[in-house]
Amino acid sequence: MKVLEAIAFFGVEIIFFLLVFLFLVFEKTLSIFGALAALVALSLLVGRYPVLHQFLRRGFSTYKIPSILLGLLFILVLPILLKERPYHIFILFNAGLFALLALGLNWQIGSTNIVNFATGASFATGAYTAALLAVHLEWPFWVLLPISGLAAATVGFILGLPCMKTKTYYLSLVTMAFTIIVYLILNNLDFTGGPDGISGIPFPSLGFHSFGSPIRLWGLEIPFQANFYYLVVVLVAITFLVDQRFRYSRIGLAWNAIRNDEIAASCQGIDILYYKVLSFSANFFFDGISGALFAFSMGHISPESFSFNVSVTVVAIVIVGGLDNPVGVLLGSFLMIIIPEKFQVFQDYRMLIFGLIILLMLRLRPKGLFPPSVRTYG
Amino acid sequence: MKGVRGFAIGLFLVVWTLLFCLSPVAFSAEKNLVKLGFIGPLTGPNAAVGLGARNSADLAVRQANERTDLPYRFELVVLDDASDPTTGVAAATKLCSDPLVAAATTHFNSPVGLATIHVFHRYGVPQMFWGGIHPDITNKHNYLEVTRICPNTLVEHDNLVNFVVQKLGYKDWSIIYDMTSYGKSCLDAVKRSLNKVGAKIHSEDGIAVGATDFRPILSKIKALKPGPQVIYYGGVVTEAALIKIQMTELGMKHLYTGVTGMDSETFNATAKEAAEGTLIIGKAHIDETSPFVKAYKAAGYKEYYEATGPYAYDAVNLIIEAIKKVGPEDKKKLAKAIREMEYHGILGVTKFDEFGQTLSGGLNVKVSQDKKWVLWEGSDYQKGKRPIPGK
Amino acid sequence: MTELLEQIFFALMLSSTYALISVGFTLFFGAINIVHFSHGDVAMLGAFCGIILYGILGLAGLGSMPLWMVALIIIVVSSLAIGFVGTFFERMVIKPFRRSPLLMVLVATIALGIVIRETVRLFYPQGSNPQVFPRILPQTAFRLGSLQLRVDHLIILLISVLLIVVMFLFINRTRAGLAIRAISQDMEAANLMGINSDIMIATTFLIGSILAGLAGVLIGSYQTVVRFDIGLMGGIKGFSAAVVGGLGSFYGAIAGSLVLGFVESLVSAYVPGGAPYKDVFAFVIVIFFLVFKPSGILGKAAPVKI
Repeated sequence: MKVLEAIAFFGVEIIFFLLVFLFLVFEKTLSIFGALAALVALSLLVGRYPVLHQFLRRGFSTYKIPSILLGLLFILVLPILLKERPYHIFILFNAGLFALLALGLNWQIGSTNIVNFATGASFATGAYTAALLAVHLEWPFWVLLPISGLAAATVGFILGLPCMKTKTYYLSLVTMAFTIIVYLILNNLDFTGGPDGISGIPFPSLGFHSFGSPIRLWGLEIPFQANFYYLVVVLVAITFLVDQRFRYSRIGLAWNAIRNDEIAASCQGIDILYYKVLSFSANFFFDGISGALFAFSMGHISPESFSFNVSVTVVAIVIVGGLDNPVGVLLGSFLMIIIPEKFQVFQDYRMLIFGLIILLMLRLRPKGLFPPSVRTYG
Repeated sequence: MKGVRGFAIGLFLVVWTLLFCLSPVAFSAEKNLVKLGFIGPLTGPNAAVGLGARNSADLAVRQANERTDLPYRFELVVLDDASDPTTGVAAATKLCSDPLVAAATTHFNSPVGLATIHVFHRYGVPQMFWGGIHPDITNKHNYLEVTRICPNTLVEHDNLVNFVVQKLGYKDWSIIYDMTSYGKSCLDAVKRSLNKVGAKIHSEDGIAVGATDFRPILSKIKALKPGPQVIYYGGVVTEAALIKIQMTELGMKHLYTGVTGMDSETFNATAKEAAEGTLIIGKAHIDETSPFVKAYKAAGYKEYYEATGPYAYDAVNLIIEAIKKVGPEDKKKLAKAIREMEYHGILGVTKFDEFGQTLSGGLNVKVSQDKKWVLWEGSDYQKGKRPIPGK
Repeated sequence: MTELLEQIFFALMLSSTYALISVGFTLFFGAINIVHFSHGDVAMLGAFCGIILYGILGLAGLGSMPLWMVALIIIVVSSLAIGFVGTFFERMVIKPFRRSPLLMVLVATIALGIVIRETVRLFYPQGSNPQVFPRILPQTAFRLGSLQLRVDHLIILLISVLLIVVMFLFINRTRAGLAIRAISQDMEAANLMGINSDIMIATTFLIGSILAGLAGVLIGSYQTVVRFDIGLMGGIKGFSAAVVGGLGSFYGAIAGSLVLGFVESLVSAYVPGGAPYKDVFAFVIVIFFLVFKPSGILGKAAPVKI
């Protein structure tokens, strides 16, 4: 029985990955829809039969390392399977960028109850810092990555300080106004290139391998987009680990305490100002990194890519994926970014659908598609 | 045990659905099929222009497929850039990864083009711009693959300034521009052209796109003494129309000018009577009775071809002629052949300079008369029947 | 001198367009303590409604009607229509969250705004392009001394002022207004006193949305052109004006609108190179107030109750 169960468990995992792969690869709308429907059917099945849910949980806790390794293998191998389709690798990379943004925002909306609409601004700060330093001072990418993060974190710090005193809706208004101000400044300032933005950002390089050239491995040629894909995977993994460290530390506890009841938390001796500003800075740091990566992958950035819409998209991902649930947020990024790309016909309706989804989710499942698990102590 | 059985059934159903969907996947590549790419704003604020250009490109492909002298069957692959650079790059990547795509004609918005030229260059796929006026598209990197069949902003403004300053004699200008890439390019170009002829710039004001109230700025210009004779606007059509309306409200009698951004009937439809007497450099003038217009109408496209349609039409035809010469397989050869083409189309003669920029582009001086754009030549203004504003 | 007077007049007009929206924000916040982020978009619907009505009237061959009648019909019908639409939104989107944390109402109204904007953009023909608002007010100009004024501007200014006065009187001098004020102070106590808070809230939204619809028509007439996204900026600016003046105070809403309107107008005219930055100036002032004086110019600092 045990062996059969193990096989069944890994079988499910493999089928899941297969479905995801097919979903990515299919061209005809009907087939894409079929793969997506299969995935949804699977999830519904698991939801419907608690036995299945338990079965999966048992399998995962027994074979934790192997199943994670299997997942990692899938992620690593994906670009090789997609080597004829650089476009698909590109959109996976895009989803990864948004995953970085969303994981960070999750710390604010999910954990601390701060509705932050300034992601467009932090993303822009990271991207423009990297772009300006790369084009004018020719600093290398690997130095610029953390520097952009720090620059954005500084902005987050400056924004967070005065926000500590403001109430919920005022705070959101401030973040919205801030995003618009940053957009306007970037669009009008000659230093940032104005509406033309900044172009001529070179491809990063790792040793002798430029990110602009394809990866040649064992006789296979994998398109250059895979370079960026792997990098974003590594960054998402790092961010995820950081999230776990935050979550199960005093910081995560403090954030949740502030979310539940700010006054009680401060009575407990939790320094509200410190933890709120920390959430701003931490979120903005990773947004900045994502921005730098974005700038280097496009070679050219302009203010249009950093509008209020970006903020809205990321907020939608966090709400849909699950407040305070990083795995849910990861899945949410994948869904919200890849699905509109696959169903090209809906591209134009994307914002409308996001808005409707937010409304629906708030009404029906306010805790998100994948609600956070209750904190376990000890 | 029951749960696992139910699960197994469910799993079976899932696999079944999958197999069902796998069936329509097969497709076969045809012999001698050549794909041509089209990228433009099919959604978003410039959708009208994008759709008109797409229809024109489609018309060209349809006509090419009816010809008997070509050994190829052409297919137009249409992708949307939504006036957004990231979407444009995704579309360009998609096109370039398809080996059957021989060349593409692209974009209305310069920022999108500035991002995608790197993609087309990386894959070596020829890219001809039917829209987008920023000089950097061709001049900054001078990629072999990139050509532009519409005029760039420097040429447009030289034409405008030469006409207004030298032919009409107006040397005093005030400039209003919008804070988009297009508006900034116009500002730089008009200043460059004005400085070349020694005209005087009295004021420069930037406005945000989406702003609707320009009365404070216009009021300020009105109060300038001695004031300008010409008010120039560099930017897109709606703000251009609003400015003219508000100029009329304020009783300002300056000559109002601009370039091809204002060459759209939207200007006249929005400004209505206030549009009278506006003078611009407009895009190619296509006669209503020409075969292109007749064929376009006969094909029954929903959208009007707009000012840029003819450029997309000639772009596709030029590419097809180049393919006829050297074939679609060797993209480098094709890019060179395109650069060296001298093509006679509905825009007139198209030849490219060393940067891939067309030398002509079919520009005309136009004036708004009775709520329509008419050619300066033959208008009541040229004939002296109506007074030219600004005197 | 003439120029200065002209600039002041335009600043006043701009302020009045903001005031129309910010009074609505103040009303909603004062009455039920929520910030209705999509109020600006509801106003935008008013403008589009006016355009559609004009088209319908034209098609129905009623072009022979005198202009003032056309104007009246459009104004009245649009306002009422949007009044009901706004109330509908409240029932669907805001009421379910009445007992939920503030976060949800906030995000819900923002999402609602997005849905309204995108629906107009996608389903109104050529929605993403700016739409011309019909000329329903007389276009004649006349001279007052050295100033050149236009009749339609004056009418808009007058109606705006009138509306605000009417709103003020309604809240402060009628029984319904009294009920609304009672609810805002303490909903439970008001319920105990026999006030049907549900109906009163719906009434508040009805009135606020009628105001929004009217604002849309007036703003459309003044700006000549409306776009699907004027609600976003307009809403943010209207809300900012209300906050700067003091959320919850009528005089505050007007004061805030005047501050914002004047700053914007004068910056675009007189600060060299300032015109594209006029929004930045306005928002910086807003952030300043939000952080250092959240009660605004005229609001009272509310103590936080434990």
